[in-house]
Amino acid sequence: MAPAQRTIEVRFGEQLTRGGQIARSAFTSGPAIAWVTVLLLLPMVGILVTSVLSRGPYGEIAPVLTTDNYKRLLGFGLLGFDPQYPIIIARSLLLAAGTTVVCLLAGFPLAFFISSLPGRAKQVALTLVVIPFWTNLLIRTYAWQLLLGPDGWLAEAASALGLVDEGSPLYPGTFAVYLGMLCAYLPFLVLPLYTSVEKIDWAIAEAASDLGADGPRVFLHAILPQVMPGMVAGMILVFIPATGQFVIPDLLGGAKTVMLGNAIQQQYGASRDWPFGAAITLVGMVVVLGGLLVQQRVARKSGQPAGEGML
Amino acid sequence: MRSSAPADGPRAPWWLAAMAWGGLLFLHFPIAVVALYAFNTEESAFSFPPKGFTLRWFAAAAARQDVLAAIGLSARVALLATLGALLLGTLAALALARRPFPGKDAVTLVFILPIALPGIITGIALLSAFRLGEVTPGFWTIAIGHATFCVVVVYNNVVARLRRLPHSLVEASMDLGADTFQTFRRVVLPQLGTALLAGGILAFGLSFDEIIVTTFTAGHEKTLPLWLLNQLGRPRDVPVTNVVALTVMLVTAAPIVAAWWLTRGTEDVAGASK
Amino acid sequence: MSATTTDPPADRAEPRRSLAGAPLAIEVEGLTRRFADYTALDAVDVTIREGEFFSLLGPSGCGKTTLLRIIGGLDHADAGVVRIGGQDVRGIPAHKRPVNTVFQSYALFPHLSVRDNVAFGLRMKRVPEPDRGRRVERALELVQIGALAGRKPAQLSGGQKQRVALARALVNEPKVLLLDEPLGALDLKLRKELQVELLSLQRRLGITFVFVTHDQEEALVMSDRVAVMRAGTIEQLGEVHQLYERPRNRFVGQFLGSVNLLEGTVQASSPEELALASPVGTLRAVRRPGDPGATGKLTLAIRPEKVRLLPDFGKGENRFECLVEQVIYTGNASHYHLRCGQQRLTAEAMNDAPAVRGLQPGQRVAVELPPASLIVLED
Repeated sequence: MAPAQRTIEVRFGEQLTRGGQIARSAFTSGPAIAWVTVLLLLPMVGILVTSVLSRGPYGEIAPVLTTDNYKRLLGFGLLGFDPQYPIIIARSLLLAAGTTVVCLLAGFPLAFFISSLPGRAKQVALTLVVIPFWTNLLIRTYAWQLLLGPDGWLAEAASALGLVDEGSPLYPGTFAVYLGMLCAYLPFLVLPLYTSVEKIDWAIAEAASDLGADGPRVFLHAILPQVMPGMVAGMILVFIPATGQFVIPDLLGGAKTVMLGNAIQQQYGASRDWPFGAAITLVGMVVVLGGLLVQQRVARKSGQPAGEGML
Repeated sequence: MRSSAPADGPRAPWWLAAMAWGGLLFLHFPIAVVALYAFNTEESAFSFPPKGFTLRWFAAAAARQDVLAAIGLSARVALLATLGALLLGTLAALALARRPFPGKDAVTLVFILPIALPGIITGIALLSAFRLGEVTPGFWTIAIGHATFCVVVVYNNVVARLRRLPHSLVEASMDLGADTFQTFRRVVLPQLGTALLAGGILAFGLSFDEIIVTTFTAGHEKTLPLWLLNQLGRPRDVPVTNVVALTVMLVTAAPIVAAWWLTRGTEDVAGASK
Repeated sequence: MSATTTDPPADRAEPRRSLAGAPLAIEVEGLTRRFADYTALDAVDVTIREGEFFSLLGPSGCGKTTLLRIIGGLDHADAGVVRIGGQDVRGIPAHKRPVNTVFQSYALFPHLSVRDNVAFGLRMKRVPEPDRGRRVERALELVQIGALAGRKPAQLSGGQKQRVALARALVNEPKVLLLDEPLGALDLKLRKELQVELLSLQRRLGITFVFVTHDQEEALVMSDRVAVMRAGTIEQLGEVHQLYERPRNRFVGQFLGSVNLLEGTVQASSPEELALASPVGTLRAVRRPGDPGATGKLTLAIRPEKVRLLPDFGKGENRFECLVEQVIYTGNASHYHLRCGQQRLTAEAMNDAPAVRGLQPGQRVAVELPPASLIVLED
């Protein structure tokens, strides 16, 4: 009565061989992984490949390897130094950075305030933050258009307060764009930040002030380090999507400036320069992947399962 | 080391509270405005205070063919995408929730990517895939595209729920004579109930609201967000646009907030998966 | 290292009941289970007879739960054989084995009512109505929770959940019932009540029970036979009083109740007795068949209640004088902590014994260790 040749393991009462377990896992997770691979990962590889190819005379893709596309992105165009695309990239990054800063300024008070509320009120407040989060972005942006337009309330209020000239609209303009971005991305920052704020050990702050530190110092040395994980997670959650954002700048900024997203759209659309569009896309992908990896590492350090709870 | 401050931290100073309330108001302002002006009598771009109260724009909107078509399309697409995401996401979660293995982080990343990448990149990738497969953009491409980024929402919720499922329940079921499939059907699945519901609702909302990826994967059809995008260049249609906007907000936000309320306080906070 | 049952040359009490000769419900041979950093079971052999209340007793980490789980099919062995009712069950998954388990955490299905929980196993076996309903009702009556049949587990107390778990397992009429520290989470009073109930239940139904516990008192109260385990092996297996009266080594002696240990060197020995040079003088001890060899260094043990305190010194062997250091009153008896030169001893005596009336700390008392009560230990 020799034992079976294959080693059988029992997990949760089921008997499976090692191979059997792997096969089962592959079978159940396979479809989902295959789905995303075929629809996203493979095309991304295709984009990578396309980005080093050239544009043919009729707008098709010519199988000629070149690094011209990337050079253009760095500012070295066909006719010498052309800062057009570095400027576009910089503009998008700047908007993303600016949005992040503004969200931080608005988000910190919100996170701390909610944390200081008693139980029930806390839940209500969090729900209030979540509601706009799930409201259609387009609708909210559209509403800002109405509000900031020539006859809009805010524009009239602003001119009544003497902040702007009579009848001059607040939109389109940079102010409007930042307002729209703030409205779109604030919840992305507040929620993870709040999670960290909830976990603050206030005794450390007390100890610090006990040792003679004044308000700002207590904040800097005792509080800030503790909220770092949530803050960083929130910042990444804002910065990454904001880099690719072009709908809000278009709608509230008058579509006069070209952002990264606009550039990609152009190349795939009107300009029919797919290789170049691919190169721009790749830059965007690199930024996103970089941010995700940083965020995974931060999450792992703070003990959270990477990728969950945040996204 | 006992702190004398209450467990929630020290009470917030008034200026902090003021700033916080300002922030909350700011976030809700646009929503309130749209809601308010859906009922306004004034036809063109509005002024303050609103001129009157009427429901006639609702009737007008309901009579519009393009509005109804857009709503119908969005609903059908969302339903399909949700079903696909539920199926794919649950299966994947069952396979991967149980134990850590070398590629687990990588797999999670793969699922997150469709939703984390800016819409334009995901859209282009999907479009390339469809072009390559010589699939014409239309209803199915929209639904498939939506399902792709909805999978992670279901996956996260189910994984979180599975984590909290005690192993002893599965063992007890086996001990009592149920094989793998019966155990899944009678013990695991009922326990997953709320997670599936929450994940499904979120997926539905995500799909219903989506704009950018849809612009790439749609043919000539207009989902509701695409219809809205189109409307932005039509100032005279503002009242109907307001009504539709309000309806969309209610239809998507309400169940999602409900799902969030259901799962709050547990690890799988629904809203955090956006 | 296998443990065998030794025939009990017990001083006094009759065995609880003898199931020798009953067919074997479970046979375990050479069972080994290794985990990454330690060995949970090391070539364990055990046989459990039909109708027996058998306990696996030991401290945490000794392998008792692992053994139980392997029998139930919830874990696999790296080597060895398990036979249930004579049939080799390797390769047979848990859901096909004729055993049922009562889990420590009860593992009741939260979404099902009590009745549906209990009916679960019968449903899986496709037992049709009205049979199913009848059997479920009977099981509920058996554990006295008929009134709670419609409730959900979340609405039950710990003791009630335990009964449901029991009913859910028993309703399937398994050949063997495996119980994994089922009373661990309950308070003392409830535990004692349920111990008695479990015992009478087992007697009534005649089902073989394999019971895992770390509580020696629990094992003593309920079991026919006990296997005392440590670090993956069975230290000693036998009927309860046997283990108590004749522990093989220090571990078993100290795990079941308490013992006094006297270390010394053997001075002389014969097949019937030996003389040990110990800190309290030369002691004579009676040797029994199965005792370890009598040479060199040896340890003798004696239970506190067997240490005799005498009113006066008189004449007799194994007698010496001790100083009473502490007297601990426990109601009907007292524990006397004695110091006899280099040796410390604990004696236990009923409070109405004439020898100990008025015995105070600081006084000296004559102590006798009857030769027949001295146990020769293996280590």
